[in-house]
Amino acid sequence: MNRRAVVILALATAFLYLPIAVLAVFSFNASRLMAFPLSGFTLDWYRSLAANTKFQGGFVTSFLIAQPVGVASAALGLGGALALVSAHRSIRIGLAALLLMPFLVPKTVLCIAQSMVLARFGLDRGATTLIAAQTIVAVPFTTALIASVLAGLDHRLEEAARDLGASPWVCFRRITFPQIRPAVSAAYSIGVILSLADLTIGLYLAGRTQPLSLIVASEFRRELSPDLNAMQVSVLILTAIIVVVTEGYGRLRAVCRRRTAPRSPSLASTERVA
Amino acid sequence: MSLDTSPRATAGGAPILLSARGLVKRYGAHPPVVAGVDFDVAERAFTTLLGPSGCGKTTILRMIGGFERPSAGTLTLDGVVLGDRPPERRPVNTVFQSYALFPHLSVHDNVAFSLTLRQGAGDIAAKVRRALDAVHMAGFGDRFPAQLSGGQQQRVAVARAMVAEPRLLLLDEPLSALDRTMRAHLQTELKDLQRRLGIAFVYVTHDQEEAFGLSDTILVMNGGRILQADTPETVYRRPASSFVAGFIGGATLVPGHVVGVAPDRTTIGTALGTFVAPGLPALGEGMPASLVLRPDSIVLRDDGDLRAAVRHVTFIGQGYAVEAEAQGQALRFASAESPRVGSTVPLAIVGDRAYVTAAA
Amino acid sequence: MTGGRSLFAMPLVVVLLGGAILPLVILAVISFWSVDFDAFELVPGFGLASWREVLGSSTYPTLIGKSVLTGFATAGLTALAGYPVALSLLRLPKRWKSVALVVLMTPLYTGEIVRIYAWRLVLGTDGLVNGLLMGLHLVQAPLKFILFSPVATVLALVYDELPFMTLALWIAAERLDGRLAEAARDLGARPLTAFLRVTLPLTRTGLCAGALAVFALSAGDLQTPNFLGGPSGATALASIDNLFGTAFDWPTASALALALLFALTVSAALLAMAILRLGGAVRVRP
Repeated sequence: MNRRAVVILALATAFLYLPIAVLAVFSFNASRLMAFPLSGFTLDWYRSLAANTKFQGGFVTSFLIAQPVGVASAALGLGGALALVSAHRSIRIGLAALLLMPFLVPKTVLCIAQSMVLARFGLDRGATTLIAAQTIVAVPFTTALIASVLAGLDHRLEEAARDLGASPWVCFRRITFPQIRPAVSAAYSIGVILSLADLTIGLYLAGRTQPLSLIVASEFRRELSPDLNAMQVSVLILTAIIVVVTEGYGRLRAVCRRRTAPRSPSLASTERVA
Repeated sequence: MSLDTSPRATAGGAPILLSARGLVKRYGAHPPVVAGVDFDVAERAFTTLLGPSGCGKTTILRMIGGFERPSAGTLTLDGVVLGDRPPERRPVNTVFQSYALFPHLSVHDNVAFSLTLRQGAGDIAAKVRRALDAVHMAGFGDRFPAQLSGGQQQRVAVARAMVAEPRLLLLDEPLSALDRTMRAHLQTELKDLQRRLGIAFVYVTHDQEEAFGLSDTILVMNGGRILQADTPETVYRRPASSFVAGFIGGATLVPGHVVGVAPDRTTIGTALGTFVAPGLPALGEGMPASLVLRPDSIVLRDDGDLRAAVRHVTFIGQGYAVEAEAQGQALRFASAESPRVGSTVPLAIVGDRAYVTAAA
Repeated sequence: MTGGRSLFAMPLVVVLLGGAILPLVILAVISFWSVDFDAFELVPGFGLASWREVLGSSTYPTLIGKSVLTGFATAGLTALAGYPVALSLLRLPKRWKSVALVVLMTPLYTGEIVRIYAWRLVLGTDGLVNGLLMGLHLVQAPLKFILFSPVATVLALVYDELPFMTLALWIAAERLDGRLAEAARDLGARPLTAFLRVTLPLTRTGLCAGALAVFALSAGDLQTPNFLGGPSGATALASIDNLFGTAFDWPTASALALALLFALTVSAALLAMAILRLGGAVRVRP
């Protein structure tokens, strides 16, 4: 570790966290004007946030939308990853190309095209369409994540299981899935995070549903106000908590498993399933 | 830095090319990896750093190459202190362990790499051809590293390092990734090449056979220190400590105390009796010491006054390797005939082929 | 057993065909339709009017070119910034690398709108940058040209995409044998030469993946230029949005969207080809 590397990493971290830090500082600044120099410490903006039912409603909506997006994108991604790792070359290439579409096509274009389809078929826009569209944008990420872990697994373990008499389903449930469980829960987190972070899809496909990002964007067009800062910081902290809880839950289970069966965690989990 | 940088000469008379003084390498608060070493490398000589893994030999090589900065001490090459000079500004090239050939460049482009970086390198193609010829790899120029066997990659790595005619070639366990026959073969080739080129080699290995087969000078290392710097014969016959004697395999070490010191003769008292042999000059009467016996220092002789029980006999081609035991002390020696396992045999110690060295 | 698993992808394929491919096909079909503005209705048919309007105008091709340029600029700048970061990450002790990964990816968790909002606080008239410049007495009055300019847009886009580029380069560099760069130095290459002739060609697949992702994401971003670019924030995507939402001219919106997609695809392919040829640039054959 030389000094130049330390300096570069410090600069990069500072750049990546500068906007977030500024946001956090102003959320405690005792002035309606967001300007330097700072005017002192206050919790007023958090208090006014606590009284703002519109924001709270928006956050609950966002959270409720994010859950099915996380579950669906993890499930679809798991299926896609299983095919991507084991199928014939031509199927793999076709699937990869299909998955790249929602990633490479600008979200605005994709959402406008989706809106046109909904309009032509006379379908209403609302929570369901929002969830579906956000899932479509999330699946390239979740599939790639799970596939990268699947590709690194030792194929001989599955062969050994089949050799010992396990059916394909039992083999998947007791040998393969326990090994990729962390990746699947990470995929769920990614779906949730992308959903919470989204604005563009909501602008076109939310219908009358009002997730938080839409409320913020409309406030934001009018004026910058310090309680928006407080809310952004709160959203960041809540997102972080979601990530830590899902990741931490998986890790905690792994630790518990290791404690009950110190010699082989994977065997312990198969016993539990059986 | 009040270092004498004028040209000097080693004991053998060859002028000194590289010298290290008080060289230390420390990472954080850990004990130093290299704990203050001094050594000289003579022009045209084949010098080997020999020691167990983790003894600091590769770290010394990386400091000479410019990949690690010494925590203290100096390295002087051709009378110039190397200091902070980056690797590209040192007239030194390295043959890396497992070679580090550029996978995206052909053999030709790998070897030509250093020549394309300097002005006035002359006829690059001819130089590359000559270098590949020298390592018996002519005609492989269009191949890529992935298409070569381990031995071929090793040869290309040597060609790449020597094509720019460095003052000093550093080799980091260059044969360790190869199988036994290939290793023996390339060992001869390397020695040949070094003599023909007249370039000084500094070679790192943990294999004592390799070190004996190749070196003019061996620096035996342990725990970040150089324990002995001598010719292979001297390291074998007159090890500077029990560690050196034990690391160079096949030795029997009999612990004891010095009971008498005369010029060229040291007397040591052990559980097996009192013996007279050449000894380490630093030893004084009453000091703990070890008697070093090589397989040819012990002979099976009817008038021998040591009685030993034969435990194992192994056929080794030119004769037998025998392991026997006397008063709880294991003795290893070579014999033309095979004594019967379980029998008791008379043994004698040849004082001229034994050595008394420091206990630790 | 291997062939059977491709069936697991069926739900995903159905969702993507229905949710991504079908809309794009419909988009293509509608681009040939026309609008009856009196009845405010789409008229199915086959006409080239909307295509003629898109390709014949002077504004739309310029806007498309601007999107491509934005993508190239962001990809280039993130690569310039990402390489030093990725190569420094390589030197971290192992247990710090997982921490570094979290530190690198966490800013991505912040919402689009949060990041845009934060950059307004940093770059605005009373923002951090101006506060700093005035505090140091480097300027007398706040600089007003930073926010609502192309500089602000590109800066925010670089910020958004830097983690993607760094991650791609980092993964590629981890697979590289660290001794190769040392060997180049040993053979006489200065640090920059060693980078250009060894590290860069050997990490070009990572650079290619990172550049494609950054290009697609930055050229396809509507909100950042919209909120931070001010008068310069007009983009092809904003025009599509206007034609679709405000003007109800779906055929022209569709034609413009497809023209943009085509231009982005061709540019991305050229970019990928240029990067993948980097390795061939150092032949020394006599």
